[in-house]
Amino acid sequence: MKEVLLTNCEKNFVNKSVEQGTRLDGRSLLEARNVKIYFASNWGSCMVLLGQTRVVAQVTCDIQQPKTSRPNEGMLHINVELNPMAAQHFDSGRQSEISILISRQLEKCYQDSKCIDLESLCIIADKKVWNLRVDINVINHDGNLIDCASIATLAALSHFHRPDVTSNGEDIIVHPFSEKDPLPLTLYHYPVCVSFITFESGSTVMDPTYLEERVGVAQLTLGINSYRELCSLHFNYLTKTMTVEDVISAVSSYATNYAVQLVQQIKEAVNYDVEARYKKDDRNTNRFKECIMTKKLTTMNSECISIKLRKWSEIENIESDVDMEKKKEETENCTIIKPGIGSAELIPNTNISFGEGGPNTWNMSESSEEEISDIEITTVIKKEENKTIENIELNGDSEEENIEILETKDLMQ
Amino acid sequence: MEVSVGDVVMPGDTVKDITTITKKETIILGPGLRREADTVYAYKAGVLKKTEPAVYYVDSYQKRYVPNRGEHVVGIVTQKGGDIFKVDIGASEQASLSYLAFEGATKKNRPDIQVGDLVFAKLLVASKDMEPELVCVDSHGKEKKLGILSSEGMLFSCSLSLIRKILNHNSPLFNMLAHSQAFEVAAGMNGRVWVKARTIQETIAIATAILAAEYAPLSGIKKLCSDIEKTLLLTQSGNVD
Repeated sequence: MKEVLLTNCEKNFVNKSVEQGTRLDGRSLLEARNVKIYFASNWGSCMVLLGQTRVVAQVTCDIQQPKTSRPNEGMLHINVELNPMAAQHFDSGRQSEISILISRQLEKCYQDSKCIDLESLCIIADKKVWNLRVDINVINHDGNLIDCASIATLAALSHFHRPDVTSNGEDIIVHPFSEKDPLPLTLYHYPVCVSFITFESGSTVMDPTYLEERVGVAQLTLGINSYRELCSLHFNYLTKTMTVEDVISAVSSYATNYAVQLVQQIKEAVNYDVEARYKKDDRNTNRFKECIMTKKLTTMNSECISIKLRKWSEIENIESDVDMEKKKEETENCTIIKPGIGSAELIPNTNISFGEGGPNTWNMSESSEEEISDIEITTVIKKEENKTIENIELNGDSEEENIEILETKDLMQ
Repeated sequence: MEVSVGDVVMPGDTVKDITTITKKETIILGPGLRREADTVYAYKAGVLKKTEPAVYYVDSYQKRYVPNRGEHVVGIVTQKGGDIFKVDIGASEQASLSYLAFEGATKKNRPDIQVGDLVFAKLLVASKDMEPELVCVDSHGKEKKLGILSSEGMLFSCSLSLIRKILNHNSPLFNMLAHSQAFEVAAGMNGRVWVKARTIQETIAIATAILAAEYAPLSGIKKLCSDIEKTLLLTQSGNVD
């Protein structure tokens, strides 16, 4: 079926409202929609909701012969499928231009940035390696498929566990999950995509909806990992236009901060679910069944309303507002007291200046795994560059680069 | 399964009330009901309803529009060719609209319509075997409320049951909204609504009110309208700061 024609009326209205800094769903220009992640009962399967956009990802693995050019590396394939269930104009069966575009962008982001340790997927060099396949199914399309798909891919890959393999000389034995515990994949870094749309007026919005995607004139997707490194970049003019300039430099730092936060959220969700599985404790987990909530039909149900003003939800929450604020304060206090968690909220809290914000997180990193994200460490360093150099040298053995920076500082002084 | 008025029905259910009526009166079967010999079957899922004296129908939730003769719809002009416009009304097939079916239009004086414009029109022909046909005039050649919708407003879609709910004569939504806001609205039976108010914020607020009305009971409409008013005041005061 053909896509419904974009009317002049929608085009005018969206352009005008963005020019005034208003978006139809009540967000500010650089504000993303809520991300929800639900996991299925098996390893490496998850559903991601970005507003009304909904994507299911599933990672599977099988044993294959490696490519002759890379005999000791496993393989990763990403496959995106769009069917008419997502939107009426998607054809089932053959690959459309947009699905090729999305899968290529994901390949750039995950495969070409070498975020997965493919060498650890080798069983016998030149003969047998693990072949990973990520299948992405779009369930509902409300704009920004690429971000949603990338979140789903990352969550699925970091959640996936492959069966253990042992070899007795000639034969290899693939152990079922009941015999040996499955092994997780090794991820060197965690990239996600963050998308923007620029309008005729020159203003840029983050995480566009379907309507905004159709009205916009230029599209930008940045693949950023939690170390604030750029992994992929896609910039595309949707129509002929002269108005777009300097989008990348304008939004890149904002995108990086958002990406760091998002990766943290994904990691937490994955860790929580994996831990729950190890403990065989199925309570309080985010499984598929949790996303099919029975909703009460009330006016308060603003999630279902696609068009609203920013203050609309405030009106609805006026009664519960006071409680919410109290809770917020409580949680903020909690993050200061427990520094070991390594949550994204920790970073702003370190602004209080070092030494005041609770126990020293620095010594903790020595004993804990590499898992604790490096952003925290680097921010901490920035804060106390001049104060305690000895302390850093003592504990800096995990990161070579950091030591170098500090030594040059030292010399300059 | 046998069902009676007020029940939730599924396709294939038989309606008990109608078969037991022995009085000699005309019974009208509305959408979702079909008669085969002496039994009346439901062929849609929804709530069985009855209006006096004897009109039965199934009130169902759906988003896909099936054209019906005489209904008003909001359509998108997708093609201009020869002497007809092709209009997308959300049905399985595009409808046709003659350029002569506008008020005061003659062979020389054509209406000024571009591809992508919106029209509010009435279905003149809607049968299952033929292309639907639209007109923008009534039988006296007057336009009344029909015609081109200005491209200043906003278009959004909603479910067909919501449209039926707000266009119902008993629905207080538009009357109550009109107490505090000034706006123009064109609600088509095909689930498309066009709204225009003085500012962007007001337009969005009206759209919110219409969409939120789907989840509001009849008694809650008043609170909904006052909520909308409060929201607008907050937004406007926020802009001044």
